[in-house]
Amino acid sequence: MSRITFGRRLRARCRRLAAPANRTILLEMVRANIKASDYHSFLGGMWSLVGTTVMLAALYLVFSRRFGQGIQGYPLYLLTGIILVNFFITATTYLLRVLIINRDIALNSTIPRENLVLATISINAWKLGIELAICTLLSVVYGFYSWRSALLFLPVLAAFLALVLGVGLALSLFYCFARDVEHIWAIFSRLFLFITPVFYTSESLSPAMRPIILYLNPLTPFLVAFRAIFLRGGALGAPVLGHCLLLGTASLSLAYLIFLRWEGAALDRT
Amino acid sequence: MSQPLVQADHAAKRYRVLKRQRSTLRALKALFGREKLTMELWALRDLSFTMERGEKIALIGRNGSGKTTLLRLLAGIIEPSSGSIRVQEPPLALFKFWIGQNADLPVVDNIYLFGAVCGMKRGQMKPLVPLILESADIRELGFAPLNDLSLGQRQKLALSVVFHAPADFLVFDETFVHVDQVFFRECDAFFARLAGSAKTMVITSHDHSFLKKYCRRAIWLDKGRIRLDGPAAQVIEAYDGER
Repeated sequence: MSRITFGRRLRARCRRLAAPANRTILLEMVRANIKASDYHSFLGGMWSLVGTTVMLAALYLVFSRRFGQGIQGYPLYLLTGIILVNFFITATTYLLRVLIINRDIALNSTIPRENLVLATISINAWKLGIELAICTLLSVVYGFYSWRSALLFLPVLAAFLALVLGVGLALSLFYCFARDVEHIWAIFSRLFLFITPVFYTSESLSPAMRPIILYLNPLTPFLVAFRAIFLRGGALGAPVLGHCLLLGTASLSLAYLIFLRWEGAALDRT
Repeated sequence: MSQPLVQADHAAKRYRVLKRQRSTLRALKALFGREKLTMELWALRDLSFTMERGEKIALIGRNGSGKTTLLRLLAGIIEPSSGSIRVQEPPLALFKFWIGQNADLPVVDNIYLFGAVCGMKRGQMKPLVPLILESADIRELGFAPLNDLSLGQRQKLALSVVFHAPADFLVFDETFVHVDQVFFRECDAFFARLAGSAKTMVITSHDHSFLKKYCRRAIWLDKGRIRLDGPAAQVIEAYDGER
């Protein structure tokens, strides 16, 4: 008799993930993770924002004169960039270790491995939620926010989370096969702070660099989209929205298929 | 005729274990076929058997004989490398009692968390919390961090939750290692109830008198293969005779 086919495994996994019992497990895992983190109390939540605030102040002091002149609401422009890039770096770094740290759970319990991934990212997502709520508030105060912003917010956020999950899943697999991936990613991921228009505008880039930053950096379309939501009343073009949705969907689908194919082999090697 | 709960057909499980320290360069070399990163280790080979609903089965064998791997296959945690194992109903599996616990959280939160792993919702768990604390003999420690509990207390807590789980198919792997004599009586009572029920159980333990008491059938694994499969008393005696 042949081994279980890939399609059957995918269908079985989807059924298992969608089962009510699994939703209960996932909910409890997320609840436990958030409760065990600093973010479950008001003060803890405030502390978690200190890093973002310090970075915002530093970048504003250094770059506001050079890049902030032509941008209305430059602090919000900066804040959006810092939040998204920080989330991408932190969440992918957390996810990178998810299979190694949770190997015992993955091999000794029936908890689906996807739950481990989702529960891990939930802490970062919780902080992202608080920070994006602050951005929304600032956008309202500035008078930029509109119904279009509210309408576009969720699809763009979902696509962004899908991108981060996809990258994180792929990294978590690579990490099982090569431990130095952690060091390589620690260096590489920091580059995103500079190769993404966090404090500068894409117009300030040279004509040669602009298409590279706009089309080859997966974070740029999301930055453009979130800034359109928070700073331009949701005036977001269909190409950018499509780019975001495509990136999010493709990244997560591809990474999940690779994950399903290689998770067993990866856990053998941890 | 109803289908067996478990049907294994020439099932085998191969692990690929690392030969050398892993690095990106070595992984890339392995990818392009220039260097082998791993070697094969067959944990189970050519297993064919069935398990009917209601059976109580002991898995015995020396360390490394493949007992835990077989339980993981039954639980659906890993998949066979060749052959197949069909399980009609996923079991509630207890391998290591600290799985599904968060040491930084209070005991009560851990009861809800582990209860979810055992298939119980908060609403179902709420009335059981005092009973579970009582049963684990940690009535006053409900709001203490789990870290403050001893290993034995954490094990009693996990087992007390499992005792209330609604599962019809249970899998236990060396579950009673740290249990004291007083709590063992509680475990004994649980297994006595289980033995008289229609539930299915597969268990590994080095306590052979315990296995003989509650299991009607035993499977002896030796170097990843089934050496003997039959009535528990007979198989365990044969195994003990060989040691």
